Amino acid sequence: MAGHVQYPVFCGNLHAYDCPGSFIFAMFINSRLKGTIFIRTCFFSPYVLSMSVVTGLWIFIFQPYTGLVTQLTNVLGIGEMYWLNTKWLVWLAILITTVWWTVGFNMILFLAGLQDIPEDIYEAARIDGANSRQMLFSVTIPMLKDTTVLVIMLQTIASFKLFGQTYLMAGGGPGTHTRTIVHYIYETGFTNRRMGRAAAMSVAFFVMVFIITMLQNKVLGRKKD
Amino acid sequence: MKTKKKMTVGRAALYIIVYIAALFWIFPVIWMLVSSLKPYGPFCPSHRRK
Repeated sequence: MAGHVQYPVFCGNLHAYDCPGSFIFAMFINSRLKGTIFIRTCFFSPYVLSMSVVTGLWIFIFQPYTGLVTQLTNVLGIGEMYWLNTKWLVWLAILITTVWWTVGFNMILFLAGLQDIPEDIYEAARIDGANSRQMLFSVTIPMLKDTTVLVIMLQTIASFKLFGQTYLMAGGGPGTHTRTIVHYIYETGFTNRRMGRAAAMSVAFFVMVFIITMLQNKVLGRKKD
Repeated sequence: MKTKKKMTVGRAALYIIVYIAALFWIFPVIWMLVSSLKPYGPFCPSHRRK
């Protein structure tokens, strides 16, 4: 179960890049630029693709000899990098794929949150002499707390459920380095034919995710009196 | 009534950053489409027509 220890790292990194990234993209779109529809389409279109298509695309990009990333690293003089066969690179490849895929959805959630903030609050802040930075940190970010909690919770659940990317991109490898909990349950049930054990593990996994989500909701969603 | 925002240096920079980010984000899809239209031969010499 070597891959399981990588979960906190993956979860942390996913939150570290996905939430701020989607928030920044939502801010971009909310700043009323020309061509917003084009920009929104660009950011959201990866999420329209199915997970198998997305992983297929990124496998193609991370190919050791003909892949786009290899061509780039060759130009930079780094040389061949075996992204999907190297322990420290494979999680990075999975992280890049997941962030690229899910940022669009989180961006839409943040955008909905941003458009829910009443214009009056910004006007009041402007009258009080607040600059853009002060408005961002004192109005926008606090008003987006509920959306942020929702995004973090959804991301946490998605990180725990991680299966497709690791299974399709690396097959749980190298060795068992990217074998996730769901992958382990799948192997137990369908490869080793131990259905009872797999079912028990699934229930235990559900309980674990449920408890973690409830704890997260309690800690992050606490309301100020 | 819509008010037209004045084009400042900051706003022009924002335009550049946003458009670069959007194109960067869509680039893998475009690259995949372009690659899928390329002939198979150059990637696999044994499949070239003689």
